Amino acid sequence: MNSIEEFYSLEKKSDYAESLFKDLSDLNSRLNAFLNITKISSQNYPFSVKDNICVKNVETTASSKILKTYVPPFNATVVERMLSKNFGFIGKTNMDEFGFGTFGLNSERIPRNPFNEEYVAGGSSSGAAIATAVLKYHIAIAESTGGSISAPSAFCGVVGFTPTYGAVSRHGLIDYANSLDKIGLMSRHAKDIRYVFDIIKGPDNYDSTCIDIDKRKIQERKEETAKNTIFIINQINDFLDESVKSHFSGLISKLENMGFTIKTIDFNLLDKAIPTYYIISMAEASTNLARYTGFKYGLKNNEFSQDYNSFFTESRSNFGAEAKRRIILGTFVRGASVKSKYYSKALKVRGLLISKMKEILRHGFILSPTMPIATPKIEDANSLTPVQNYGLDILTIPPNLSGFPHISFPYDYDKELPMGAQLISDHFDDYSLLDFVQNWEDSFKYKFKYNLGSI
Amino acid sequence: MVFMDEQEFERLLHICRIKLQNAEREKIKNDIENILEYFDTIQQIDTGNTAEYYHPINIDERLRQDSESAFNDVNLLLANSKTHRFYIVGPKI
Repeated sequence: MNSIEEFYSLEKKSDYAESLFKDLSDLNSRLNAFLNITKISSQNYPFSVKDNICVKNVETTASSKILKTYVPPFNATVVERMLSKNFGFIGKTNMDEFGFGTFGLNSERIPRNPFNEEYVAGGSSSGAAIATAVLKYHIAIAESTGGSISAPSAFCGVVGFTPTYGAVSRHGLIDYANSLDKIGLMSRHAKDIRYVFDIIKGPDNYDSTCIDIDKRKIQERKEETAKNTIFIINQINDFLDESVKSHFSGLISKLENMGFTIKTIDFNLLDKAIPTYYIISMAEASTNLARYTGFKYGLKNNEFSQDYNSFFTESRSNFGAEAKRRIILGTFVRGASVKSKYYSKALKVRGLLISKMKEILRHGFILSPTMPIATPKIEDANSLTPVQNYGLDILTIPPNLSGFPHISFPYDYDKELPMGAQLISDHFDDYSLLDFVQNWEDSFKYKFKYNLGSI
Repeated sequence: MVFMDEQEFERLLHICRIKLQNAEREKIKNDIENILEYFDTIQQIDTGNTAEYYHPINIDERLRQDSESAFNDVNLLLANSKTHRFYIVGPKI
């Protein structure tokens, strides 16, 4: 039985919903997981929604000042599908502004790690991961562009699933980078993710890029990923800190004992995936963010006497520093004089990377730690330069850039903080990942500091 | 290596409609120089005849019917803007 079926089978106290709302609101004042919390009926299994996904009549800002006061008049398809199956919307979760960040620090209210509040929760789906780590019964609708589900899942000790690109409709998602954005899920158990993924996946008339992964798998006569073979890329060792290296070798030994065949392999493009990703994502972000002009929706600039250009420039001063940096860089790399050098070149490198990774994934999974470092303190993460910060996405970017499904799961604890590993499979082979983690959960018990909403 | 002179940076800010104050301007310009140096490392890769991948997977072109469909919550949509009758108020052209 998954925890959703379990929840519906239990009899709840009459004040269940009331106390859940109170406990969550109290804890949220310290952890900043939610930007708003809604009281739900005790008859509905709670789900949260990242703040860059539209929920009708609920303020949706993508954690950006420029979108303050925006209230969508419609539900995203993923939200509509959840509500139609009797799930209860519990609130919008905190994130880095527009998804621009690895640690959750590009938000007005800094999200804090539920295991130790001095540490980061990870980003950009920070609130989704914290909510999953503190609520006994809950599933998070999150979103990933370059690692925004895997990174916070690893730091907060939950399971984070990023499906094949296009598997879940993005209608109602506030775009960051269209060729990279994917809606996914976070939960305490892979079983719950499977249950909800079956509900939210599949074609949608409102999103022409949304596909049927089951049909595509059959059409392309894809073989099942060899479920007993796991590849470890040799080059990751150059980027892992010592504590991660040591814990990860412990995981490899456990998997060998469980009967998996572990093989090592070279993948020389690993570190080149980062600049490739950032060129493409910034180019796309700079066009997507051009729509924020300060009068149709979001924070209003009421100085209508200004001329067009001054009005827009004034309105756009409400972007945060990282958003400004990405708009400027993204505009630059698309410029006619340098487009072939940066943007076109990056699109070709992406092609190369996909074909090389596919060659490996045809023969098994790829496994790595989710993050190359142990969870950092907030003050330490704050002192990183942008290039240092981007470099820490080295393990989450390759599958995101290539649209491969991947899943982060807790595999150990270091100084009471969780550590996550990330497993990648071939396009459309999403369920193999869920099978693997379900199998892992039979032999490894996850730890949680809070269990709000226990019955 | 300097990737962008002052004039080029100023032109870029104008295209983006982004205004930066002095301290922020210096920091972001410096960050951008470092990031572009980092971006330049992909020039080392021989991409041969590889095609440009605009999407990570092939997606068949799917078009919707070219027909009118009703959106019933126009008032909710307009509630996000300052309006005059059923027009959205914006800056003068």
